[in-house]
Amino acid sequence: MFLHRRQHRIEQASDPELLLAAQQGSSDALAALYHRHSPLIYRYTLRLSRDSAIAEEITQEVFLALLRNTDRYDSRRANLSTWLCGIARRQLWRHFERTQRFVPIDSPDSDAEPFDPPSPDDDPAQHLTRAEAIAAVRHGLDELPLLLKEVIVLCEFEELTYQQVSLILAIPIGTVRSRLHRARARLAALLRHATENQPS
Amino acid sequence: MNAHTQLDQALEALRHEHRSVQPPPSLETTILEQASLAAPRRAHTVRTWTIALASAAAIAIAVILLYSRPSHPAIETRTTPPPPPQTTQTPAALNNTATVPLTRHHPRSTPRPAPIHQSAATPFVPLPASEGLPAPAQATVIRTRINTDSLWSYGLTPPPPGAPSTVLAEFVVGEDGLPRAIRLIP
Repeated sequence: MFLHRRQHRIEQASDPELLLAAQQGSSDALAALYHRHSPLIYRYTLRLSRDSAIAEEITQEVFLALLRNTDRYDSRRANLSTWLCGIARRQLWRHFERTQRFVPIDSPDSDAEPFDPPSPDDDPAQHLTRAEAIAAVRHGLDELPLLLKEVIVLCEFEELTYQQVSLILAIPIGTVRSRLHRARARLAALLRHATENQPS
Repeated sequence: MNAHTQLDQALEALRHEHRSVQPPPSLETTILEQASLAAPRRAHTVRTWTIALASAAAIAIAVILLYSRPSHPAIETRTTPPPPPQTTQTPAALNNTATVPLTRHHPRSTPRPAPIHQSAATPFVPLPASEGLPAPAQATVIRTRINTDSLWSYGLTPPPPGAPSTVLAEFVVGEDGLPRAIRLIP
């Protein structure tokens, strides 16, 4: 009964309250924070790194950094998941820099994004099956530059707001929008290309 | 169905697939273990800082107490024990306060010797305003500096022209806070 009530109280507690308790040594509070926020961190790092070991390592490092640097978190500026995801991103980018995986988006060809106007002339007889489309988009996601891919992950998959994504990526909201547009345009072009090339 | 619609449908399917991914249970165990290892270090750090701050505060208080003894306090307070009945009929009887053992309300533990000029003080004079007040069960002597212009209001003779504008005086104050007598300290 007592444990049940205590568990309920922890589940109802706000992030700053849990954070304070975790900093004072409450493992229950830390576990509650972990259950709330680790899925986002883990999925984000796993999707971008495509390596579960790296995703686990970074998730672990993020939560330990949370305990070490609690005083740096300002709940008025961002919610905790946004702040943690920002830490995860910086850790991930450091990893990419070490392993030379980072590909800057602002390469000379960044202006040559595929233009993707509405196409009313799409032939209804020529479209991919649902499974084919999903496979094509999944493949296209893996081929996207990291800076576009992370916007798709955060905006489309995690359904975070533009403001949250702008805080995580430390870029203006307008840049979030433009990156998302470019990422979607690339994926749509890839789908169209796959449709055109499918055997009739 | 155009490419955008197909893209939206594909992204929605991938979103469900993405959201189904959860961190492995072993990761939670690892993080909690790591945190518990780090916790004693944090607690130790907090305890160390607390002790250090308390020590610094104690030293600071000791230094302040040591050097805060004023050369000539503006107000000095002494409390006398209840005067014997035959001497409490009039405040004028308090003019031999110097011979009464005094208890000071001062944080210092060692009693300070009486000021050397106390022997030259004038006798206590009952204040006009104390007429009719009951004899105090406990009297307090308060030393302060007053304007010579106000001496007449205490029933004292104003000083001659050219005298200092202020003079050191001692008041006998009862436990009710009302002054009973005054004397001047040369």
